[in-house]
Amino acid sequence: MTEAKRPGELKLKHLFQPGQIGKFKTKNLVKYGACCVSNYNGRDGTISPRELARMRVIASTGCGIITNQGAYPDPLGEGKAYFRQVALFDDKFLPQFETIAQYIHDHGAVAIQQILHAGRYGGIDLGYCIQPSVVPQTLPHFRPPREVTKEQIKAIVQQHADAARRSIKAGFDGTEVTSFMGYLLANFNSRFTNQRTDEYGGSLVNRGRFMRELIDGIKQATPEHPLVIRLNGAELMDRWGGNTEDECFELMQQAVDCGVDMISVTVGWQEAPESSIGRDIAPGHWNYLSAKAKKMFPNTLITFGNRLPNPVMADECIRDGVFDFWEVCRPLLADPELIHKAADDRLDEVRRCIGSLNCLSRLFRDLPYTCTMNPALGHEVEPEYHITEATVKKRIMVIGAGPAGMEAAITAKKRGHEVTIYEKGDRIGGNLAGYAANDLARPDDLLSIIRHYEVMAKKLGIEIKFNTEANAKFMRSVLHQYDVCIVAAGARTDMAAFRHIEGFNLLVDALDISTGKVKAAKRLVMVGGGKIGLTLAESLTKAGHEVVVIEEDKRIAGDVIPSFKWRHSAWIEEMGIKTLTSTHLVKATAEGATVKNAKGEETFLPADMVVISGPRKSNHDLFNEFQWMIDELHGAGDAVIARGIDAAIHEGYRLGVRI
Amino acid sequence: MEDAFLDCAGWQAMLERADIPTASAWIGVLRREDFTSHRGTLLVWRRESDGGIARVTVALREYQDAAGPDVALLLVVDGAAVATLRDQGLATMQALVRQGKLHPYILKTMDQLEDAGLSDFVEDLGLVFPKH
Repeated sequence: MTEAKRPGELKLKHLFQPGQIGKFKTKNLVKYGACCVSNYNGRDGTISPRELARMRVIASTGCGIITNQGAYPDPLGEGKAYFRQVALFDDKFLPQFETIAQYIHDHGAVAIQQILHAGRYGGIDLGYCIQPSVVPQTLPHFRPPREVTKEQIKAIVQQHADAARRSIKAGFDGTEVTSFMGYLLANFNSRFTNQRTDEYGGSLVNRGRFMRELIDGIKQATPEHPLVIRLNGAELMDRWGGNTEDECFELMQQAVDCGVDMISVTVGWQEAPESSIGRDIAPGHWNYLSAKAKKMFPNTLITFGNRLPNPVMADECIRDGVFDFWEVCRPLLADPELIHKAADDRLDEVRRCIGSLNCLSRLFRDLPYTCTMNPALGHEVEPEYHITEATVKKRIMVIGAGPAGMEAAITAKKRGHEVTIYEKGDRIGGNLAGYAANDLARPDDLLSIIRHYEVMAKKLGIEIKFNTEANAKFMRSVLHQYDVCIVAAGARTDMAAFRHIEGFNLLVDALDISTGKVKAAKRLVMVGGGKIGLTLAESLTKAGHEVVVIEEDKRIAGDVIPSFKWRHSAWIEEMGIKTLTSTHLVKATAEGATVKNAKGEETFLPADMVVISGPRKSNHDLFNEFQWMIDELHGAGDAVIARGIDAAIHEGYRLGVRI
Repeated sequence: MEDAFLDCAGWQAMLERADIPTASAWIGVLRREDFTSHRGTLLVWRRESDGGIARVTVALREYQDAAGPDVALLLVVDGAAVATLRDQGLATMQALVRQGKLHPYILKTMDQLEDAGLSDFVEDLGLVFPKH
């Protein structure tokens, strides 16, 4: 009997149609992509209970194909890119891989194991990495290079074949090798890192030899099982001597000729001088690469998903022949229910991946990855992070409808508590609303957080009392109506820190401009080159204002997430925004600002308005006022320490699951 | 001088004006064509502390496929970048990197760069993190 279609499956009929890879049938055309590695595992490559718990969640995402994260195939660890990457160079690792394969099969998906030799980005524990040629690193994170010998090449091919055989032995249906994003396979393929003069270097045919041998080796080891290869459609390294797009596609042709079952088209290298998957790239931007691959290789399965977070767009792409399978990873880290919500026609409930790249920022600090939008990611093994029914149902008041307050409220409500939110403004979002509206990268991504909270508050029936300022008098009026108070009132600009400045009364709060409360003048001096000051300066400059940013620190963007610092620096430069670092405000007048640098030199900056964007100060007053007025008093987000959205969401959630 | 790249005095003048850190390792500059052909002339510079007095030293070396163990950072530049650096100073480096006109190669680990006094210099290149 045919299973009844869910409402969203009927709407997204292309995405939710069955497919096939090799001899294996898939329930839909969604492939979970092995998105970097989690860094949740043992330093010796063993899979941890934390990883198993996460994979149990990933297995249940509803994807037709699930790719397990890349395992390094060599015992030395030359292929190991991340501190806690899993290994597959010995049968001793198999039991946990068997468990993961079983999880995936239990949910009716095809299981693919990725084999990841990081090449130029590998040797994390060794103090060196191996490459086709000695091309020094451009990023200090990575290890100094050694040239790989021909004997080593043969051994590496064999290690990949052995790892593939082991994967199948563990119960996986197929394997995947990856060049993304600058790993060993890419190092051989690219002119940038392959400057060999033997049969593995020089011409495109020679550079592709390693890839062909790799494919051949794995195919011979596992002839009945599909092989996926991840190849760059664009390296974004051509300015530095890497492959052109045309060369990338010629390499794909070689892979097709060798009989790969699926090509996963990817974009960019770690060290590429431009963005590939951050939120400054518009969704769908790279689709043309996939469309080109599909057109060139109509008989080979093409999967793609770089910066394509939306199932509706993916459905259209499949309809239009842009690719055969939607390869999705980060959106499923943000919301593991994404595919089920799409199938149930509940896309309005999705927690969208906002492309903050918090995940990668942490990986390159050798930390386990986490997700801004999904506080439970990486904590699946901990019951404390699960949303379970509360033993004692409480009446909870939340002060502030920003991300911390909303997260706490929604989580607590799901557990059966009675929740009321008090918000002094007239909308959900707190300071995020003003910040998002000025974001140059993709305001819609940040605004999607607010929309998600609006939808969930409505669906869960959370009462929100707008235009209600919480203070001691208000608290007395609601005394004994609540068991718990969560202060999530955010942070404000610390204007008092400038009280000693001559012209203090002329200073304007950046938050008042970002929310439209105060109209920005034509010429401004922005005091503070952190994320708020920069975002507003960029937005105002785009709107035709003239802005000079001054920053006390010696660099701007000090509080910006590592993966986005360069983005602000680039915008500041491209837009010609003058920045004065190691500089502080001395005096403000109606004509401008006098500032002083580290050498003690004073400069007058003509301006119609002097705006203060930092430092920020948490709203601690409410804690003191409410301390003796309620049974439980908690704080979350910027109200505790001024930081940002990541901390706000995570703390709000952690409170919600605990109360 | 006809070839600005080889004009050590000119580089010295620019670097004296720049706020470069005192370092125990050299910064190397190599023309792209020399990098590609694996031979040519390597320009090296650093600010040293000599008896409490800081001074900039600039020198030329023969380059044959390796910058030498005392070089921590190799800046591979094209012709336009040479002129920009010489005329407008080190503040232009970030932009040159982004434009693909200056390609930095890091020859030491982060710890070694820190010990050599060059970690801030590298951070100023805006390259300390993969740019997704």
